[in-house]
Amino acid sequence: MKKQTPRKRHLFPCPFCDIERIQQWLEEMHTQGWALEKVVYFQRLPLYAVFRQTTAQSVRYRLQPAEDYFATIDGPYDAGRSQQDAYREFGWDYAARLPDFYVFCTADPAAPELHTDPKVQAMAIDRLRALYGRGLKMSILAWLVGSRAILQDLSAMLDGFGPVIFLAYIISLVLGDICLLVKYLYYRQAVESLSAGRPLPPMKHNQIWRLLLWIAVALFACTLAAMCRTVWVTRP
Amino acid sequence: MPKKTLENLTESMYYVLMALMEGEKCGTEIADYAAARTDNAVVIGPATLYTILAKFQAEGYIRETAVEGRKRTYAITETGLAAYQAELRRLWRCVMDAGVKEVSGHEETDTAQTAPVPLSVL
Repeated sequence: MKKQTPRKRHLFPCPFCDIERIQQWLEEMHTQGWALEKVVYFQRLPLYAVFRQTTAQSVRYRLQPAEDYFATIDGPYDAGRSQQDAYREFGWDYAARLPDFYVFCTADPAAPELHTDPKVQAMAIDRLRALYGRGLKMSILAWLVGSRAILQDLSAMLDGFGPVIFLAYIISLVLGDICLLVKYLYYRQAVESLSAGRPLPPMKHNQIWRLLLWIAVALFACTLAAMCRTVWVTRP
Repeated sequence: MPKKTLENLTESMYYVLMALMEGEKCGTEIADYAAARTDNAVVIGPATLYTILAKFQAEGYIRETAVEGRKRTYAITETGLAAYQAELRRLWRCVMDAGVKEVSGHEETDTAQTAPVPLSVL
């Protein structure tokens, strides 16, 4: 019987937009003999990374801003075949997809860096900044314009579920928006820094943002679970 | 910021256009050209190269001329040619403003007045 390659699941140590930290973490895992195999998603939220056992060696992992953010996760969500082939000619193999980035890696020390021009890298990251900027505007617009109607509808809909559930739901939405804002601000800072020829800036308060995101996710999940339970208990 | 980036081409952008000035090329040929031309002083990585090519295509500086399997070939357009020449003029003026100094042995010669100016550029 064929022996299965050992695999390991791992949560991400920092927000996905912290490019330098993610790259460093993946490289550390590889030097310990664990190569990134895939990222497991729930809807659009990456839950954890799956690593397969491999030869422990020093490799470089680099993140390239993805171009097809709105593509579905199944299939086309990965980097395009032609892009993978083009990068392979330079010695870089496609590894996986994070929400905003394609992950490439190389064991070849002679392979050129993925990004050799910080101003061009700024252009690539600026697409993400613009994307999150639009998302943020939409969200603010929704809160300003539609908040009354949304809250009335929601409160009517959620009335039967109790004020605690309603409050948890609203807090999860607000925290989600805060995470969106943090990403936007970081990408903006990264673009400014790279455009000025400086390296990527470190992300501040890394753990706090990660914690906020997970609180938002947990609250949202609890709200949904509580709603389902209420529906189940009060069913005719 | 990025929209303004094309006002002044970066070194890699400039060499991408220079490579295409000498004829149609695919991505790897462009990177090889830049490395060979500059004795490996300008190395263009794949993410940089394909971001530039996408941006240039969007701006109309280059166009795709052939797709053979997964190999895409690009050619410079009139707009790209104008951008290349404008950048060349800008660089030439920078050199002229500095007053080109040639150090030959122990003798320093100011060539600012004598350096040949390429007519095609100016």
